[in-house]
Amino acid sequence: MRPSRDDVLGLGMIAAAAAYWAAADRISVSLLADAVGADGVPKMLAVALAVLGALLIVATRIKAAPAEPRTPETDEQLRAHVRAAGLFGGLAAYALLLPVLGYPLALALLIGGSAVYGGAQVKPSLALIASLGGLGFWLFFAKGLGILMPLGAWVPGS
Amino acid sequence: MMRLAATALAVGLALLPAPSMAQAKYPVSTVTLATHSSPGGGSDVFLRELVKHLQPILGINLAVANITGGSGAKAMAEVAKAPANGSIFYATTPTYIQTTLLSKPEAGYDKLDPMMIVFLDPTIIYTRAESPHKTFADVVADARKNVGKAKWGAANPASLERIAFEKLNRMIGAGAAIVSHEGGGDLMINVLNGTLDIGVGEIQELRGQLEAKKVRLLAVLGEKRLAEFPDLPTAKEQGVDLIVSKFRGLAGPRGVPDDVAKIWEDAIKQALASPAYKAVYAKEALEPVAMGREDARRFTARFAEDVAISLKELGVIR
Amino acid sequence: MDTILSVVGALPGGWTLLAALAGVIWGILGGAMPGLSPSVAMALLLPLTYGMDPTAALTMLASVYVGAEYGGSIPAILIKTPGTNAAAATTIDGYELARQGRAGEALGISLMAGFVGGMFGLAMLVLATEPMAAVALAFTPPAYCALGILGLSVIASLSGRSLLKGLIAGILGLMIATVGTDPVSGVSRFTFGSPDLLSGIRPILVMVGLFAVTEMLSQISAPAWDKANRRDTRLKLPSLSMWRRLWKSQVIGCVIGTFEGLTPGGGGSIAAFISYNEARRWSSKPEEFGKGSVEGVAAPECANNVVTATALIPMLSLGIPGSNSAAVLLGGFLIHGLIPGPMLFQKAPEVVYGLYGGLFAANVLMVLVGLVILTPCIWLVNRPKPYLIAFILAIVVSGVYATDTSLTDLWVVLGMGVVGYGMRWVGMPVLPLVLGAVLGFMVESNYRRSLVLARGDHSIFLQDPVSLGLLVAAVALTAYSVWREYLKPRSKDA
Repeated sequence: MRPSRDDVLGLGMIAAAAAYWAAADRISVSLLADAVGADGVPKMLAVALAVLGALLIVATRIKAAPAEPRTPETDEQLRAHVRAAGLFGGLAAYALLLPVLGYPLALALLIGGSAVYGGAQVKPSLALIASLGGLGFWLFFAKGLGILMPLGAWVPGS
Repeated sequence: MMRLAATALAVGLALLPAPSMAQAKYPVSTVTLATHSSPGGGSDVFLRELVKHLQPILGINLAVANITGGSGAKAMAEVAKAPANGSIFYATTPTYIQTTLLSKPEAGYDKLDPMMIVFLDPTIIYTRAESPHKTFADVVADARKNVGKAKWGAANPASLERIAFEKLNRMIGAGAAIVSHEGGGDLMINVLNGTLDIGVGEIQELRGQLEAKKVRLLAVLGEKRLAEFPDLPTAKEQGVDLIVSKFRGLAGPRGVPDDVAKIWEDAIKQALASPAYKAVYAKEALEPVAMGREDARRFTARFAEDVAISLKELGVIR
Repeated sequence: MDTILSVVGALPGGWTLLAALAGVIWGILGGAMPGLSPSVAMALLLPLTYGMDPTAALTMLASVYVGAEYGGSIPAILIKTPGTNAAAATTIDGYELARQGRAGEALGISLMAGFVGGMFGLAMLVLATEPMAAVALAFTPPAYCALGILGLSVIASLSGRSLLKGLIAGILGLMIATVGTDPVSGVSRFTFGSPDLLSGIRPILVMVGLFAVTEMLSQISAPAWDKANRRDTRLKLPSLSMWRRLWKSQVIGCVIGTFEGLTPGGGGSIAAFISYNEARRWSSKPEEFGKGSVEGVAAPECANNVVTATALIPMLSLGIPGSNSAAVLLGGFLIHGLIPGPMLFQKAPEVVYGLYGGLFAANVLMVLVGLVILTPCIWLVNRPKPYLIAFILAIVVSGVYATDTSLTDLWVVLGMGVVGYGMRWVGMPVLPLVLGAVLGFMVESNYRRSLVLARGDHSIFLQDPVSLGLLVAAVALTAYSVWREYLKPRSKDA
């Protein structure tokens, strides 16, 4: 039998609970700690999560709860996941390039890139809107609010 | 990573730029004073008040930059890697030493060079006005008699005040419950509503309640009494040798020239002597010490050593 | 009576009015920008106020707070992204209404509900400061813990089809709240060596990730932009019959907002969620909730604007800031040499009454500014979809990074976006996670403080009268919700 999404979720939560417990177990012990301890509440949460994860798997088996559809993903759904992953890739690239390219440039690229990715036509006005966006946001945050937004490694004297 | 030149907002607000002639020429025209506290927070208020009185003396632009995040780790990193030409300094408090010891950031207090210690902050033990305890000696006697009954509060989990209460607990064998909070306001509620017997904090946090006579000061945790509160005895006078010293100062990146440090030392001493500034800091019971560079280095090193020992004893750090 | 006369006498003129206007505009803008919380919006403006006259300065800061708590609802309704913590509850029905082409109506309701709430809160602030301050003082650690648990009990009715998944989401939220410095011993937990995580993960980051980023990840492949908003592209203020329908939810919002404002911690968020829940319980059309209920917008928006005024009560009268926003305002007082506390009303009455007058003006100005900007806002979200997605992402990554200039914060938001996408895939509700993340620290820290005080004896939670009352309420509400949602025989439409 194909595992349902609930099974995936249930197993995932049990695994997450185990990992969280392990991390909680490594919290250093201090003489300033109380009886519950810094790891006390996290460990309670880990147990609760594991129990709920197990209950979820059992509940789908005995049909006590409405299970999510067991049908495989349609091609369309799969395409949607891939599209989402692509957009996430763009956001991650922004985060990685922010210190290198600087805020105005990285943001302009993010605006232009995600607009094109979302289906906008590549034309001069798009480049203009993206550049104005990057510049405008930078002026607002860096000059208007005085926040130290990075200018990037390539700007001379910065 | 971040550009420090862009802090146009905070510049200015000085009363009248009347440069005094006694100063040597300062190498840069704008100095950034960085703090880890957000606008309105303790160090921020300290810096802005200092700037107000220092700017006319130094005759250069002084800009305050709030580099928040990581309990000072971010600000320390930023200042540590800045050019050592006197263009940037960091407003130090015990927090920067605590953060270095507790969370071991890439740039800690030891990557910075202390330039001055400007003030010492007194720490006070207080209770609510209706409390049966009239003096700190009462509190101690009561805690000794009823072991395991007393309830004491400190503002933050691993703060110097918390450590002091843990020491007191061992010293007098009170077995008191010590509750930490999320800041002085939080603690104040629990002292005022009687949940706690005593709290420990700074005069600034207590002023509002003090004026209304809702709290009673019990002891100052210092070597001597405060000029502002001459009737308030120290803990030592009341038979318990408990001292918490806190400071406010400035530190720069390593390698700031000595003559720059000297200009600051002279200017700050001059500002501290001005009646207008005196009126402000006296109200907060801050003790002006104006330690110069060598003294500040020695003081900071010893301070860090003491805190490290306490934290190790309590098992907070290894 | 004297108090009222003093406030009338202190109604602002000239500069103070201008300060209130500037504050409200910036507040709405900052509040509407996902990632900038009201307190950050205030803090950014604080340095500008140093040179101003105290009354104008404080009015400006308080006006930012008023504007921001309202502004948070604009993106909540239009793009399903709460701009502030307290607007999370508004997304549920606000966004549903927008999708049904009733965005203008929803924005009108949230604007007027915010105004009613702000005015009611102000009345409480002016008339009942003393008794209200006493309420704030009655909250001991066990009472705060119980208050947090009462907030968490709302999970039972926000879980949608599966209570189990709602509970799992709630636990995940509580786990997120454990990141950072331990509230009792000060050791760091789950920070993996990053100093940026020492002060914990701010709930607003969780929300921006779960709502905005997730929504964009899904929208990028939604075939066509639904033009639902096209039907209703203008702001529409509630009609008289609408007011008649909304009064009950607004009364609920006012009462709950008043008390939540007094208590530090969750503040506006708890107030908004509990008000939403109660509005549904007492509504004549509870079945509309979650599917686009006007009351579901009015109740939380009313409640979180009440909080903007009542949160000032402990700050002004006790000198104790109950929230980050109140703490910034406290900083504003200190900068001007004013010390909030019991004596403030005698030492600087002109400032206090000036502030009251400024708050009054701020609430009126909020409506006026709203009337002007909301129609353009609806226009903005009806731009071609690729550009809309691009700019929403730009706003999100900028606002999130600007608060602490932290790349870690940015990664947290992106990570939560993926988590939110996964939660949609498995049909897990996100609101319980948000509640857990908002309330987790308050519940855990006060739970452990209480046990330190009681030396491990759990009965302290039953001995404290406030705590006992709140816990009984939490149990009763949970039982009722579970019965209504999962056990009650379904009517024909189920």
